[in-house]
Amino acid sequence: MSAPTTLATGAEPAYPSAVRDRAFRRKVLDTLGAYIRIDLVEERMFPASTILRYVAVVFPVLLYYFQSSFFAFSDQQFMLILIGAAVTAGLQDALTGLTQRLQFAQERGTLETYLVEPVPWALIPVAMNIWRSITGAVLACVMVGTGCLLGAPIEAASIPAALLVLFLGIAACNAVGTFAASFLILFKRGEPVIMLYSLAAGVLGGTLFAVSVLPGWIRWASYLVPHYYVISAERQLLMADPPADAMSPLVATGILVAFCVVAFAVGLAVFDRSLRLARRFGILSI
Amino acid sequence: MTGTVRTGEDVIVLAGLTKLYEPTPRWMRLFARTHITEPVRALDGVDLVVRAGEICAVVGPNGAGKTSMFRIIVGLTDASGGRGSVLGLDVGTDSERIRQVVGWMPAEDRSLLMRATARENLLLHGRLQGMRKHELVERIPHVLAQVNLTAQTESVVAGLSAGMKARLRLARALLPGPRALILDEPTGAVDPIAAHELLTLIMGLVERERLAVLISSHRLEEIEALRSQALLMESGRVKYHGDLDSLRDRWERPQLELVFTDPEVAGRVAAELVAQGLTVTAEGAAVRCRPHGRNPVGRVLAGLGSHTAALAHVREIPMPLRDLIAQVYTRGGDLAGSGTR
Repeated sequence: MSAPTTLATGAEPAYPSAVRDRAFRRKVLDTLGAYIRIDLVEERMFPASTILRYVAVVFPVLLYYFQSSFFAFSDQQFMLILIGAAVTAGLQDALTGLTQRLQFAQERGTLETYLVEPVPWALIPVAMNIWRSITGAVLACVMVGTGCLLGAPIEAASIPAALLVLFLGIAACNAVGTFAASFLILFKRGEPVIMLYSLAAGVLGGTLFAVSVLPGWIRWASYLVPHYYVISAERQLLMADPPADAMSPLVATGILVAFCVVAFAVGLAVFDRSLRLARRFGILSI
Repeated sequence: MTGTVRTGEDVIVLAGLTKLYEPTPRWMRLFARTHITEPVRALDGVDLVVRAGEICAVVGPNGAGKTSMFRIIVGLTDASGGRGSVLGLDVGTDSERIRQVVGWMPAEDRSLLMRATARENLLLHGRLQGMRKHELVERIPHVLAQVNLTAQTESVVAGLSAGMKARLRLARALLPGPRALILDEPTGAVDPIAAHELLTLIMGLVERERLAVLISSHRLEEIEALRSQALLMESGRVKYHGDLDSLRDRWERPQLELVFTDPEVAGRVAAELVAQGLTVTAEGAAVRCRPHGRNPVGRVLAGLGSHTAALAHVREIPMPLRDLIAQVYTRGGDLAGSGTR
C-alpha cells in the first residue's frame, strides 16, 4: 500500500488526505464489505419483511406436500419435487437480484453514486448481488428443512456437499445475471431477458420432474443452464433413491466450476464493456 | 492550450474539451429507442483551469453543458475530443484514480442512502474509498462537525431537512480529504439561509484546505457571494471565463438615479433624457436612466443645466449579476472567452 498522494500546492492542507492507491485485492474486499453493509442496513430497516420472506417459502413446500398426498406420491417423489423447487427458488435470487437492484438504482438515480466510487466497475455486479445470493441459499435451505419436518427423508451426511453444489450454482447464476445486467445498462430493461431465461431454466433444469422426460430435440438445451447440474447433483446427494439419469455430483461440480469461470470472465467483461458503451452514448442514467 | 497559462497549482485542467452525443446505433434501437435523433454538441472546445484554493462557478441555462462537463471529469461520460485532467490524471484513462481525488456532490438527495444514518452513509462511502477503520473513526466525527451535523450523527437520513441532507452530501464528498470538489447545484433544494451557511462553509474549506472547486448554481446571488471565478456557458461554448470584477469592468452599465426636490422638474428632465436617446423610467421625483457610450454619466449630469439646483441626490445602482450575465449572452458572442486567463 503506497503512501497517501500528496499535492504540490505549496502549503500543507489543514486536513491531510486519506486518499491512497490500493491493491486490487483490497479493493475487492472493501467493495464486497461495503455492499453487504448496505444490504444489512436495508434488512435491519425492514425486519418484518425479511422474516416474512422466510415464512412465505414454507407455503410452496406445503403446496407440494399436500399435492403429493393427494396424488399418492411416494416420499422419494416428494423429495424430487421439493429439491427441484428449493434449488430453483434459491437460484432465482442470484439470477434476478442484480437486474432488479440495478434497475432500482437506475430509476431512483443512485446508480451514478455507485459508479463514482473509486472501485473497478466490474466488481459492482458481484458486490451488489452477494447478499441476495446468500439469502437465496438460506431460502432454499429453509424449504428443504421444512420438507424434512414434514417427513421427507434426507441423506444428512451429504448436506455439506449439497451446500457446496448450491453455492456453485448460485455463483453460476450470478454470472448469468451479469449478462442480463449488461442488457439492462444498455437497453434499460433487463426483466424480459431474465424472465425468459428463468422460466426456460425451470423447464430445462427439471424443477418438478427428471429431465429424462424431455423430448430429445429439447433435451440438449438442459446442458446450457446451470439449474440442470445443480438440481441433478442435489437429487443425487440428498435422495436415497435418486432418478436413474441424475448426473454424478462430481461431474456436475466440475461442470459448474468451469461454467462459473467462463461465464464470470465473459459476463464481467461484457458488463464492463456495456458500461463503457453507455458512458460513450451518455445513457448511463437515463 | 489556447489563452491559458498553466502553473504548478493547476488542479482541474480542460483543454478543448468537446462532447458530441450521438444517436445510438441501429442495432441498439432494436431493444430501446434512441433518445436523440440528431447529434447534439453538449461541449464545444471548453478550456478551463481551476487552481488549488480557487472556486470556479459554472453558469449557464439548461443544456449549456455544465453537467456534461462535470460528468466527464468524474468519468461518467466520455469526451469526444480535447483533453481533461485532474492533478495530471487523464479523465479518459485514469477515471478510477480521479474518482479518488475528487469529491463529487451530486445535485440530488437521492444519492444518499435514505434508510441509513448519517454515520452509516459516511462509513459506506469511506469503505469504498479505501479508508481504514481507524481513519473512519477519526474522520467521520470531524467532517460531521465541519458541516455542523454532529447532533445528527445517528439520525436516519430520511428524517433530515433538505439543508441537512445537502450538508451531509458535502460531508460525504469531503470525507477522504479530496483535492478537488465538484458541486452540482449544491443549494438546489435548500432555503436561502441554509444555502448561505453552506456556501460560507465551502468558502472556508477552500481557503483552509486549498481545494479546487467547480460549482454550478442557478442562484446568481450565490455565485456573487462566493467571490469566485465564473465560467459562463451557452450551448456547450464558453461565453466568458474570468473573475466577476473583470466581468463587471467590461460589461457593467450601472443605472443612474436622480432624485429631485420637485416631481415636475423630474418629469421635464426625464423628457430631455429621452430626447437624448436614453431609456428612462420616472417615478415621482426619481428619474432612472442607463448612461452608455455616447451619453456617459458626465454628459447626463452636464445636460441637467438649470435643473441641477433641484437635484436632491444622485446615486449609481450597480447592475444585478443576472442582468450582467444576460448582457454577456445577448451581446457578448463576439467576445467569447475574453476573460480566459
